[in-house]
Amino acid sequence: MEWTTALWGGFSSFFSIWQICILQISPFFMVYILGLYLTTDEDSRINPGVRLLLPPALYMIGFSIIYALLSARGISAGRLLMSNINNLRIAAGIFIGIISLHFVLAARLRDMNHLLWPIVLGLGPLLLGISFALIYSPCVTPTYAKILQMSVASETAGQGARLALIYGLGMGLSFSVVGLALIMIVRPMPAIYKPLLRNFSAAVLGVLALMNITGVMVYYKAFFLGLLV
Amino acid sequence: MRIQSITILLISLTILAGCEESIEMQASIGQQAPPFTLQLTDGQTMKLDGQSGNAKAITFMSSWCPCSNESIPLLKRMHTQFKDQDIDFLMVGIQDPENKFRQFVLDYDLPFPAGYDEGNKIARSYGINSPPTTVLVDKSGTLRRIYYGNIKDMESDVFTWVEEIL
Repeated sequence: MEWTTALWGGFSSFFSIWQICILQISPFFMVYILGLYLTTDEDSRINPGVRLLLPPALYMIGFSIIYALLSARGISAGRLLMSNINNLRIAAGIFIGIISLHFVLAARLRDMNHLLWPIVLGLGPLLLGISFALIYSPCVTPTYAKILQMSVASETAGQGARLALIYGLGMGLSFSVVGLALIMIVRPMPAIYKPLLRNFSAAVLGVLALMNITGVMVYYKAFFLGLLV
Repeated sequence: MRIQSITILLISLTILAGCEESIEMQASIGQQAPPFTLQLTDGQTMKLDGQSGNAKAITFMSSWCPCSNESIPLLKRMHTQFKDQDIDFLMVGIQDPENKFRQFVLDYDLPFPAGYDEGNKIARSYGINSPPTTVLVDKSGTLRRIYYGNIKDMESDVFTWVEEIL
């Protein structure tokens, strides 16, 4: 399989029927990227380009690395992650809860956000990408199915992992494009509504955190995704 | 105060959730299939213990997954074709609430056994993170094939794979 096929497979899945399955994480990414933008919105000291582009780029990297490792069952790192996936999902839930709290506290932490912007706009999205890859039960699209067949056999596991990385980057890219479009829509919104939207983002992420910490994420999948089946 | 409450709630829930035991992923093609015992929806128990016996065709499914739903007609045809031969068919419910999975089994009127994988322990030992996944184990208990994804349009491939393990 060509890398371009893997990239397109990941990217296009967002805009296809497979979105049903990606609903596990896509709405949560959108509220995150909006909430993060609104958290640093009033800080003119941070370069606007960095504020806009760095978080989705680092989210893509974090997401695709773990996505690739979880796909590569033929290599030891992938097997280790898979063996501990339930505990890792709880850890991911705790981290998402911390992000939610950060959004709630954003107005009080304005100076800290400025001082620690590499953490807020860099490390945070990277770890959130990792968290989302851990909580996601991937949709086995036809392209991803072929990648998984390679990943499970030890002799082709490396090639499968590389293609899964590119597939994950394609998915991350589609998330980022849609997230950036949403930011463009929200940007001209009157300032009075922005804290409301940020608090809404915090609440939605808080729910996601609780679902993963308590293990009830399966009910979200079964109820909401089941409605569409 | 509100923030303190949320923090305390998060910490409490984390403690309540606790840590789950790590399940080692053991599945490798050509190696012995990871053993398991599964409580079936009809109250019986099915065991895969690495001893020789019938071949096994195991599918890991979720009620909410469109590809799982679409794969069932072919699984039924497989069962009809091979039911008199030395093979057991089994559906394992993963990443689903148990009651939803039980209803799913009833709705599709499965002609072969099904059981719910509590905590996805069997799935984790096979390295399965997504439904649907089809696993084929030969009569000696060796894992011959893991196929990830929808099998609805793969009738000739799947029938050939089953013949290979008989």
